[in-house]
Amino acid sequence: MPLLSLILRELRHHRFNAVLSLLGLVAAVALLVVIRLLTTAAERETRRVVRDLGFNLRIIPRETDPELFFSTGYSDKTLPADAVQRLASGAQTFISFNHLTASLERRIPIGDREALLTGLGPAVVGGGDKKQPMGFNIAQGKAHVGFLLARRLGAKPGTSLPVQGRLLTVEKVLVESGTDDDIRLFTSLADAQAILNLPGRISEIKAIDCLCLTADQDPLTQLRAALAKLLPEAQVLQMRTMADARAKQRQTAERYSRFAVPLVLGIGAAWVGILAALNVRERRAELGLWRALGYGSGRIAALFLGRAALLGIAGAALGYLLGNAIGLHYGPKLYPVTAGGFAAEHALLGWALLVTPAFAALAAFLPAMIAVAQDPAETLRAD
Amino acid sequence: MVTCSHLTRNFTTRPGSVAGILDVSLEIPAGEFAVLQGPSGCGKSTLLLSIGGMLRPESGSVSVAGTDIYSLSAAQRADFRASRLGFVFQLFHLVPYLTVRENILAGMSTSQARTLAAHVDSLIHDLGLSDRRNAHPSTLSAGERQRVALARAMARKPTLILADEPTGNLDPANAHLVFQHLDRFRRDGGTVLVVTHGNDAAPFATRTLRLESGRLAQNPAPLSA
Repeated sequence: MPLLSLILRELRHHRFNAVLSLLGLVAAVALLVVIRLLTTAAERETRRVVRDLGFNLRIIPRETDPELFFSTGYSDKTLPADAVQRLASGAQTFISFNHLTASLERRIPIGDREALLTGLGPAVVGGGDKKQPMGFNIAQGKAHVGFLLARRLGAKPGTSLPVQGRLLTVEKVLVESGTDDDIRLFTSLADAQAILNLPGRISEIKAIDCLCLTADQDPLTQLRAALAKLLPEAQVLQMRTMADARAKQRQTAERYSRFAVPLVLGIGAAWVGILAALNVRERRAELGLWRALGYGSGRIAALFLGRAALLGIAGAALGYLLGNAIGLHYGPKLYPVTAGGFAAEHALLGWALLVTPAFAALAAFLPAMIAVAQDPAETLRAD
Repeated sequence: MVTCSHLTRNFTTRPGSVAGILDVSLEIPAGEFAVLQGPSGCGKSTLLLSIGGMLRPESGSVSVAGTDIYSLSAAQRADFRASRLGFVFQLFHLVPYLTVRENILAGMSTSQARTLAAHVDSLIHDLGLSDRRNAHPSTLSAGERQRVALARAMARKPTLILADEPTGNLDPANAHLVFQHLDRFRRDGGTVLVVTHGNDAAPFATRTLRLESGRLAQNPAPLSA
């Protein structure tokens, strides 16, 4: 009788043991799928929240007076526009800084009052990085108008807006933010440089740090050391509260994952191993018989490892389905901001089908070796 | 057919008690129905399993059909068992999740099962199991189970059948039936070694051996067939 058929019949006969083993594997795979879905969701949610909060690193000209910078909200000094490229080309840049966005910012009169003008260059992300650049790109000749400013000027999408002799087309009116963005006019960097007559200059590079270190680990010193090598004519200010909250969130998620994954694997392996050992014990007489019938060690081991692998395949498929069902049902409630981003990761099924049978066979390895080493005479002797 | 030379095997079965065989030498020619008798714990099963290549002796040698079985590798010995030997046990040792027919075919490759299909069906018929061929062991009587075990032992046309207390769990009628079938196997050219502590097999025995405290108490002496 083919081995597979023999294993299937045995599973059906010892169905209590088989079902318990299967449940263990299903639970382990489902938990890992849920952890994966939630970890991904946590990262996505945090990224979105951070994006909504804005950049947390502000790289400004070294000679800027920080007190003045904080009172006006921007640097009155400038850097050459190629500073962003120089920073991006540094080998260590994207370890410490990411989503680099050059900007030029000034207070200008528009209509009968002043407004903030911010010209934005395209965001630069690390090479090979799959992150979406944060912020938004504004084409030349277009403008995004803050909520209050638009209301005062009567600006609507598609209308023209004269700004110090240049005519911009309103592309978007921003929603009310409750910040100074409501009186801000966003343009392309080139347009801002032309309006302000500061060609080739920027006042700031906005960025996000790796957010890997909490305040007690003194990330600012490390950021400043990195910047001093790459861009000595600049200084970096960190919005620490935001960075710290983000770092703590990331570290908590990583700690949770580092703890949970080995725990699930350990409990799963112990569960499968113990049940496999019980199966070996229950089948001692049968094993003696197979020996008497000419089964060698390889075939005896194959009976148990094949059994574990088969349960692993079933456990992987069912665990994947269950994990996705749980993750996709409860995940959006836990992460409502990015609820729409939840989707089954089909690649996980492939991994699960590949890894779970091997994992189950590994967990059953010791019991299988016990079966192989078992003395058939012990169970077959009538004496 | 079977030659044992100075066979010794000791092992502890319970704390403080030792059961085994001590310097056992014997010869069983082909075509014999040998009965090995002795009290419980005297080493009968140990000797039988040593002859069956399942229990390596500490010293001495075992030759079956001219092959020194413990000079073979484990895999070669497994093949030898599969092709040349048949086993019948007191507790039947049927695979609970296989049917009667599948139990008889157990351990055979697909091609071997195909080749021996007619022989197996004839055994099923001869042993009165035709209407139970698709039944599982749990639904069989003790006599039927032992007949299935007997059919399994004979299915691969072995040269030697080793039976360890084959009638220990059977009523006298079923016990007689089992010995009749073993005797028929011998008459068809096979060799049989039966271990028993009773006298049920005596009418069929061509040779009786007695084991006491691990030693052969009586020199093998041929009886009239």
